[in-house]
Amino acid sequence: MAEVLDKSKTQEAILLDRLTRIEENPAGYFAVHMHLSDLRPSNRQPHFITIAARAFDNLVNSADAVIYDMMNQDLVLVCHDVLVDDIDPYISKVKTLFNEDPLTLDEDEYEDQFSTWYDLSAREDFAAFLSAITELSVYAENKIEEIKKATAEQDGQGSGDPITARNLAAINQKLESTRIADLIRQQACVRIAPGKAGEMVFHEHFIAMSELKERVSPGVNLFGSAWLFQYLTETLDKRMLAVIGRKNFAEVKDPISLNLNIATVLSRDFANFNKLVGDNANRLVIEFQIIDIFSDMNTYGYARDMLQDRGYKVLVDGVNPLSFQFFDPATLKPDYIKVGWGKKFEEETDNTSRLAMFKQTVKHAGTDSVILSRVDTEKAVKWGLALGISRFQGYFIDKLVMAMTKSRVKPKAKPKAKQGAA
Amino acid sequence: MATAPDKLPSQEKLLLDYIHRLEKHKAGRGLVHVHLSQLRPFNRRDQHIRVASGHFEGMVSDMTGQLFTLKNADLFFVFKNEVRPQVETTLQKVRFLFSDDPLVDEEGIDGREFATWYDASDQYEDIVQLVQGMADAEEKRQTEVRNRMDARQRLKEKQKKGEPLTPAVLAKVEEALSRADLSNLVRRQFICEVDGKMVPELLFSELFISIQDLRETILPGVNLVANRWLFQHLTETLDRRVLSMLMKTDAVSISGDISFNVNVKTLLSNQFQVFDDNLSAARRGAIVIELQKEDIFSDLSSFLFAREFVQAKGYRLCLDGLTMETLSVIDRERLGTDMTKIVWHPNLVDGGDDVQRMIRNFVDRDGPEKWILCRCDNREAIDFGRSVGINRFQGCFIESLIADDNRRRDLLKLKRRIERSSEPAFEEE
Repeated sequence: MAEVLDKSKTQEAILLDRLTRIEENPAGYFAVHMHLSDLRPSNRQPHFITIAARAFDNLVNSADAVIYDMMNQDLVLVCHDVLVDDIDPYISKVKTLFNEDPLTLDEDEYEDQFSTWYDLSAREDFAAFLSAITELSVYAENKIEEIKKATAEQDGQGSGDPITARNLAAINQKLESTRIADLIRQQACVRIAPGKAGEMVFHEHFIAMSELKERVSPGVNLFGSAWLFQYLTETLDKRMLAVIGRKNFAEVKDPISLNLNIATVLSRDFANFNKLVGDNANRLVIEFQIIDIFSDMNTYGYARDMLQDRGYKVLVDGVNPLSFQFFDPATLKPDYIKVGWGKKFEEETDNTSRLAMFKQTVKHAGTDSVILSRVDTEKAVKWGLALGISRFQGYFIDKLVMAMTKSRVKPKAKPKAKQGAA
Repeated sequence: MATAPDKLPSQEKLLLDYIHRLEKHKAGRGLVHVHLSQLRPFNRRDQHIRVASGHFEGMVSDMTGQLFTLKNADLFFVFKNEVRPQVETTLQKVRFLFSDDPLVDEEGIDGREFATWYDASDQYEDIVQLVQGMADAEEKRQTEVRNRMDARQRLKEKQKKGEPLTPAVLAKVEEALSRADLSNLVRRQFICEVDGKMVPELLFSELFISIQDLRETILPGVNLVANRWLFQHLTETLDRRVLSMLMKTDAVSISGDISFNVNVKTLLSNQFQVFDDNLSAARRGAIVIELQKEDIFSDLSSFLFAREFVQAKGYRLCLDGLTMETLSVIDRERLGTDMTKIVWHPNLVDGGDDVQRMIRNFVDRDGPEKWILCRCDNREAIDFGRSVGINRFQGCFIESLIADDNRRRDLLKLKRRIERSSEPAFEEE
């Protein structure tokens, strides 16, 4: 990330300045604008862009070529008297870096979405390039304003330090004693069939992490290290089991689902919890994360069998459309597989081959076991239904559930209404 | 890692026994203690020790002496005084084997010795004390190993000895790591192609930090791998240290193609950029980067990016740590690594025809050069690998094959030299 907060010193400003000089004698100049800002968010991480820019190191060192990295993460290459054939390998090198991204798919031979070329000695091209860069520099100026404002705000409330081994002990200790019962939230997973009323599958119980963070470590970014965060979840598991264990499971209306580490399920805390659950294990769903499963598949298999033998349902969480392409979740033999809906899905709706592959995977996993989560629009539900998925979870479903409960309550309140909901 | 079956008494124990029985016959006998444990780690690999002890074989079979090879690599040789000149010659040969090790140069400085001689009748008590100490230390180590299996013992051990890896300890370890010299904790293991006659051909070597030794150096008594997540975090710190160490190539004597394990996150860090900048293009082609599956799946987008980045630079990637269970779940082909490592486990054989067929299909499809069976600690592993078409192996057993092979070559060389010296000599060496 460019840390330049002086508007006159941005790469955009430097490039504009250079353009006014090139304009005097533009012979032999050309520019390539690479639209990295159009990459998917997951591929637009700052260190990716740094590495992409460095792919031009050799060119920049050996020819009259300069690379500019823009505030919006685009890269612009300006060359003088260099053969186009000499440039191509560098561009394609960067392209391969992102070859999992739809932006680099050359579906149309004539239209390259990844880069735009400008012959700066041609008046028309020069004007087009100048306006593109002007636009980028306006963006940069606004961005700088934003950053300045954000840092000012952050300074006010103490910035988010990364989580490290040093502060981890204190945070963990705090987690062990902080009240968490009031931070437990619920979200429903509902089975939807066209033309029928929704049917409750389970209620996932989870801790509201942002609120917990405010309570135990307001200044620390708990999610900065995947591994250290995972460590903290082991402590949270124990707290969660203690709270949930106080429920009367025989009277719980809908099944409860809990996110746990595999190690937790094999611990004494869970053995105690299991005693409290008694004969009601079938009212519980245990969710495991993919990253936990992969780090010890053997133990996962053991934990899964043990849970299923006792009547618990096992759910594999943390699958996304991307990971779906790299492993077959059905081989993990869980009762449910939870797939997170994301923007990526929407982008993929027009990619028929991936869609077909996904449909195949859902079918293979068993349409009854796949749950589409993070569903926030009706579109997502429709998309899922089209693939044969019938179980959903997310904000949009929460709204639906509210409507469901209302319609269920209504007939009771007004017994003389025409007809109760089915 | 393989541990000897419990029933077999340790060499330390046998030596102690032997020394006790020696009391009656101590007259006319001597003992030499060869301090191979003082060698630099890279000179102390199994095959080196095997070659060294091999030199004593002649006298052992003549019944003029008895050799004990201890866990720490030290040799104890008890002999009849009439063969002392022979023992001295043998020792000279052993010393010659390690002539590039500072231990040989440093002899005599600060009382450092390559070997210590004892006279059994005059110094019997000293010998007993020394050997008893060694046996005690070994027994303690063995209990430690066994305890890892036993929860009750583990608890006892913990109460007695130390803590599991906690955040506080992790912080200490990380700080210590930033100062510690890791070069003497680097271990090297070869990946070899093994033919039907069990002759290994070296392909490349994996460099790794011995976690066990690291623990002993930094915080004895702390089990660094006890918590998976904290350990994963620790590996990120280790990665950075390993990279900076590899840049100072003189820190470790590295030759040939090498591989090492890192996190995906490390590949995308500045540290790796600096490492990469310092390598010639040709050297990149000689480096295999090993990645763990859980690390890959914890952030697939980063992995995919890193894969394109490092492969385009010429490095090769190896997917490490696959087991029977993970093989069927992960789509390796789609992950696009250049090689795959399967961890040897007897359950691969127990899995029966289905498992064998599955692996054989993979190997046939990708080509045998893309598959490595690692942690092979016995012959069974090799036989299994070959039965499914794998011919690249790594592990203790391979290290011992290399040692045997080296010994065979040494013998051949010696034989040739003898043949040459029996011809009329024209010049001296």
